[in-house]
Amino acid sequence: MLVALIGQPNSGKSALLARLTGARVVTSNYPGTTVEVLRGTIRDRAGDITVLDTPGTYSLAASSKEQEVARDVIVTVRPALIVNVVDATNLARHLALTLELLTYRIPMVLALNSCDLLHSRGISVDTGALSGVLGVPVFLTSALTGEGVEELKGAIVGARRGRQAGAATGGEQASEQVPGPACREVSGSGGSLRDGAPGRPTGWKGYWPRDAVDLRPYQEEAERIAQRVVSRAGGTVTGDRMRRRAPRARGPWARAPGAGPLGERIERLLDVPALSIPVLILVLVVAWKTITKAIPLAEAAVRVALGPVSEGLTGFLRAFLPPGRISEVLAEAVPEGIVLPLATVLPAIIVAYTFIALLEDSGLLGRYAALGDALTGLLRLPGQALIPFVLAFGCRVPAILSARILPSDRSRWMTSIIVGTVIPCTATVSLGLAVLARFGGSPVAAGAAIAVSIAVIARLLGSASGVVRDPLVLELPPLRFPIVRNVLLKTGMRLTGFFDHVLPLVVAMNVVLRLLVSADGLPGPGNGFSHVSGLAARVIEGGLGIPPAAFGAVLLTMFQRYLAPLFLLQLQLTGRQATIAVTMVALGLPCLPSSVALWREMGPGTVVLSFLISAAISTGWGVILNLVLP
Amino acid sequence: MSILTLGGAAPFRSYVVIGIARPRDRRGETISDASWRNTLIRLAELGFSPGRTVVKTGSAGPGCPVIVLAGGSRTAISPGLCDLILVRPVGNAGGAAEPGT
Ligand SMILES: Nc1nc2c(ncn2[C@@H]2O[C@H](COP(=O)(O)OP(=O)(O)OP(=O)(O)O)[C@@H](O)[C@H]2O)c(=O)[nH]1
Ligand SMILES: [Mg+2]
Repeated sequence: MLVALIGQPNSGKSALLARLTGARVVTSNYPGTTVEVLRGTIRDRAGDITVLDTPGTYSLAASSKEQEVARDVIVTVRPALIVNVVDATNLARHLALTLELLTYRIPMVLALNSCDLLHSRGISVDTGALSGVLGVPVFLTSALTGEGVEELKGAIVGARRGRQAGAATGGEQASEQVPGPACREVSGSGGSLRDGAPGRPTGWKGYWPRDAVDLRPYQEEAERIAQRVVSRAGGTVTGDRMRRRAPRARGPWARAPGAGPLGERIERLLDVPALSIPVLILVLVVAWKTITKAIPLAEAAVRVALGPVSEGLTGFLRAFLPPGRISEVLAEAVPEGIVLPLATVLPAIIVAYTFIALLEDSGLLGRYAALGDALTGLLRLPGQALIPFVLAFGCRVPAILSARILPSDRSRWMTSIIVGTVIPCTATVSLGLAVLARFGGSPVAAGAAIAVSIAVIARLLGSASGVVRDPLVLELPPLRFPIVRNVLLKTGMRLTGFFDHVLPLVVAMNVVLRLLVSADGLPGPGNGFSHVSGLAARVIEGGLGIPPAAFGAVLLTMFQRYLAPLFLLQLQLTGRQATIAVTMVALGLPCLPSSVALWREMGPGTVVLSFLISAAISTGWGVILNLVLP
Repeated sequence: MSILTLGGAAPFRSYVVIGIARPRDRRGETISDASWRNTLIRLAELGFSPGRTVVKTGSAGPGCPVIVLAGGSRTAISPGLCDLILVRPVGNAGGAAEPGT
C-alpha cells in the first residue's frame, strides 16, 4: 500500500516520516527543504507499507517545480491513503490545503503536528469537532517528542487491513477504518474572481488577472473552522501585544504564526535592518573564525590521534602483503589516504555542515534569503537563490536539486549553473587550502577569482536570459533556538556521505596516484607524466604557468572535486603554481555527481553549457593569474 | 476612499488587497508569463488575493523586502512587487468584510 504525507511547507512531514519509518531524511526550518519524493517503509506482519514524503505545497495549483512534484503524487500516483500533515499551531492556514485535498476523494487522515508547541502556548484544539467537520480521523502528533506517532501508525496499518478486507467485501470496511472524506462543497465569501473581485472598485486600473487561481473559498473556510476548534487559554499574550501595537490588526493572522512569545519578540527585532545585518555579520564572523581557528587545531589533534593507527596499518600491510613495489606503495598510500581526508577535509566539513544546520534549524537561513534579496538582485535572481548557494558550500548535488524552490525556469537555470560551476564545496575548499598551505600559495588570489567569477557569470547569464528578475515572495519560517538533536542528526547524516563516498574513493585514488607516480619517477615540472610532452606541454606551461601534471588535476575535477587537490599534493609546485592550479581546480569542470544532477534537473544542454563555462573561466583565470601573479 | 500600494502602506495597520499590476522594467521587457503566473499563485496561496486582509510589519530597509503578515504567515515580498499590490485601509467603503474575525 502506498501512503503519502502531504502538507504545506515546514509542517513536519519529513520529521514525521523519520518517526514513522526510521528513514533518514533531512528536516529543516524553512519552507522548501524537501524537493523530491522520498520513501520510507512501515514494517507490518501483514506486509510492508510504503510511505512517501513529498515536498511541501501551499495548494495544488503548484507554483514551483517542487510543488508540481507534490501535486503529481496526488493527481497521478493517487496514493491509497493521504496523511495530511498540518501545523497544529497554524490551523487557519494549513487547513486550506486540507479542504482542497478533500475534493480529490482519496481516503485521508489528519496529523496535527507540532502538538508539543500547543501545550506551551496555551492553545487547545478540539480534535473531535475537527474530525466531525472534515469527516476524517484526526491525530495530534509531535515528530519532535514522538507523541501520537504510534496512534497515527496504528491508523495507517489499520487502513491497510481495512483495504485488504474491503477488497474482498467490496470496499465497505475500508471506509469504516478510514472514513472517506466527507464530500463537501467549499464556498467562501470570495466567490469567483471571474465575477469580479469583491472590494475591487470599478474604474480603477489595478486588476487581478481573470485566469488567476482563487483559493479564497478554501482559505476563508479554513479560518472559520480554525476559529471553531481552536481555543486559547485567556487569549494569547502575543496576540494581545500585536493588537496593542496594531490597533486594527485582527483575525487569525494577527500573530506571527509558529513563533513563541520570545521567538516573536526576536523576530520583530530582526525585521529591523540595523539589527539583523549585524547579527548576520556576527554569524558569518563566528563561522569564519571557527573554521580558521578550529580546523588547524582539529587537524593537529586528528593527526596525533591517528598517528599510531596509521603506523600500525603500515606495519600490518608490510607484514601481511608479499614484498614488492606494489605492497610498498599500498603500505604508504592506504594510511595516507585515510589520514589526509580525516585530518584535512573532515574538520572543515563538520564545521561547515554544523553552521549550515544551525542556520537552517534556527530559521535564519530563510530570513537571510529574504534579506539577501537586495544582494541577489545584483545577480538578477530573487533572494531564494541564496538557499541553494549556501547549501552548495556543503555539497553541490543537493544544492542543484534545491533550485527547484525558485519560481521560474529562468531562475532555476541560472542558479543551477552558478551552483554547478563557480561555488566550490567545503571539501574542495579545505583541500585547496591544504595545497596552498603546503606550497605557500595565495588563498586571497584564489578567493578573489572565485568571487569575481560568481558575479561575472551571474551577470552574463542574467543579461543573456533578458527578462526582469522574479519578484521575491517567501514565507519566513519561525525563528527559534536550534534543536541540538536536529543539528546533530542532520550533520551526522550529511557526514555519512563523506564516509560512504569520499573516504573510500580518496584511499583508492591515492593508491592509484602513488602507483602512477612510482612508475613515472618523482613527479614534478618536466618529469611527472612525462608522456604529456611536446606542443601540449609547452602550451600548458607557457599559457597557464603550471606543469602538465597539474593540468591533469584540473581535468580530474570532472570525476571527483577533492581528488584533484589530492593529486596536486603529490606534485612539487611553487607557491605561484599552486595558486594557479588551485584556482583552476576550484573553478574547474563540474564533478560527475553534480553533472548528473544538472542533467536530471535541467537537461543535457545545461550540462554542456556548464562545461563550456567552466572550461572558459578555469582556463581564463589560469591565463590571467599567470600574467598578473609575481 | 484612499487606495495605495502595499509599499506605501503604514506599518501595523490592516489593509485589504484590491488588485495587482503586472511589472514592466525600464526597457519595457515584462516578466515571463510562467514566472508571473507562479508569482500570482504564490501570492494567492500566502493570502494576497482581492478582499483578503494584510498587515505590513516592517521592512528590512530601503531596497530590501517588506515583511507582511497575511493569511496566517509572515511573508517577505520584494519592494518592487509591493509597489504593484494595491490596497485600501480596512474600514473603507467598497471592500469585503474582514475574514475570520
Ligand atoms: N516543535 C516541533 N517541531 C517540529 C515538529 N515536527 C517538525 N518540526 C520542526 O519543523 C521544521 C520543519 O520540519 P520538516 O520535517 O523539515 O518539515 P517539512 O514539512 O518536511 O518541510 P518541507 O520539506 O519544507 O515541506 C524542522 O525544523 C523540524 O525540526 C514537531 O512535532 N514539533
Ligand atoms: Mg520535508
